[in-house]
Amino acid sequence: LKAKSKVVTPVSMARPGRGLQIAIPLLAIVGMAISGYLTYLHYATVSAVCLPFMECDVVLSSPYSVMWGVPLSLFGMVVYAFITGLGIWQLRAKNEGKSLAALLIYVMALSGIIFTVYLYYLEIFVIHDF
Amino acid sequence: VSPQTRKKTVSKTKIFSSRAFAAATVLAVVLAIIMIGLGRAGYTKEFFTSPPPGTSTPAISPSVTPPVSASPSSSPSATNNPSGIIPASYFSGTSVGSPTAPVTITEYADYQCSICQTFAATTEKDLERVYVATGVVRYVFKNFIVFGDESLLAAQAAEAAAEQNKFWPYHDLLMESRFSESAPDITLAKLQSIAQIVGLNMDQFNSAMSSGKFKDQVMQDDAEGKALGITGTPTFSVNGALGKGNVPLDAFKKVIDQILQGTGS
Repeated sequence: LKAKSKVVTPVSMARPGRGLQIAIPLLAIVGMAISGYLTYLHYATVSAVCLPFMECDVVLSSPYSVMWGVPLSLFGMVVYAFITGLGIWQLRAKNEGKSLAALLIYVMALSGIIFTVYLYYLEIFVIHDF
Repeated sequence: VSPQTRKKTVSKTKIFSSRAFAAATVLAVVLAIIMIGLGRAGYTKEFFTSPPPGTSTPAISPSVTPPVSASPSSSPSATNNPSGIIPASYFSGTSVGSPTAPVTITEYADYQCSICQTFAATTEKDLERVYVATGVVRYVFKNFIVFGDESLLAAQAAEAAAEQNKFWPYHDLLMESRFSESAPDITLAKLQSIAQIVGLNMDQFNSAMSSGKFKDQVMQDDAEGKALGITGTPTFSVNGALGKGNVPLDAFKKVIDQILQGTGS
């Protein structure tokens, strides 16, 4: 048993602290809510509703906001739902499970960041909303 | 556990951990590249929707089609017709272009919308130069109120300028002023200042503004846009085909060519 605990210690060092572990699913839920609102705006047939801290819906309604007929915000919701699930798993899991959850969250978050940078490129240099 | 065993297991774990981290990083990059690739393949690249049935325009001679090879002239101007390329008779109210033009582009916009402001300074000028001045397009501006009372006030001021046949210079100055979508920066005093620069009869302008003479006209434009299913600005109708956002000149050219060849609306 002692040997086992020694084995997992270095791995657990790579995991986020308890506060961050709680923050991850909470922030992901906020992300889900925002993505959900943007998805609603996409499908809404009413006049555009603009949040005070956002530009209006031109970016949302541009051809680049839809991939294979599905709004990007819906993809975002799915990703945030996965991260929320992984975050909850991370909180409840033990040892290796905890580390695996942290690793998967890292994969999802990093790929999401890279994709978001690409979307910002489109927004600034293609859609010209800056 | 002997120190040797402990060292060995810890070492193995560290190697596994760093390898897993590296593998996860590579996996994330690959995932992102796949998503970008899927996105590029799956974007809806058409800016314009299909035109409604029954709006076909007879085919006309391709020789009427002007070339779109010149570089964009992205210089904003406060005058109707900076280089004198558009015949004076083409200006009428909130529209500009030949009354017999085969293509009508109607823009639904809000004076506080940043994309509308960018479009007015760039692609709108190119459209005027390439298509309006050559008699191919009649360009119509209509109000679509997205940002509330300030937008409504600015729209009424522009309509008041239209009453004095100075809509386009007033429109251009309003757009160039780049009023904010969120900050409360449109005031009657600023609208009056623009009116003075444009050279409006101020008594007539002030009377129109204080009486709200053009409010119904603005709201009628807005209602017309909503009836077309428009949800944001700017949105363009090209003989009935709708396009959203900062539509590039090439996208306009594509739909205009289709119309001129009798294959579009």
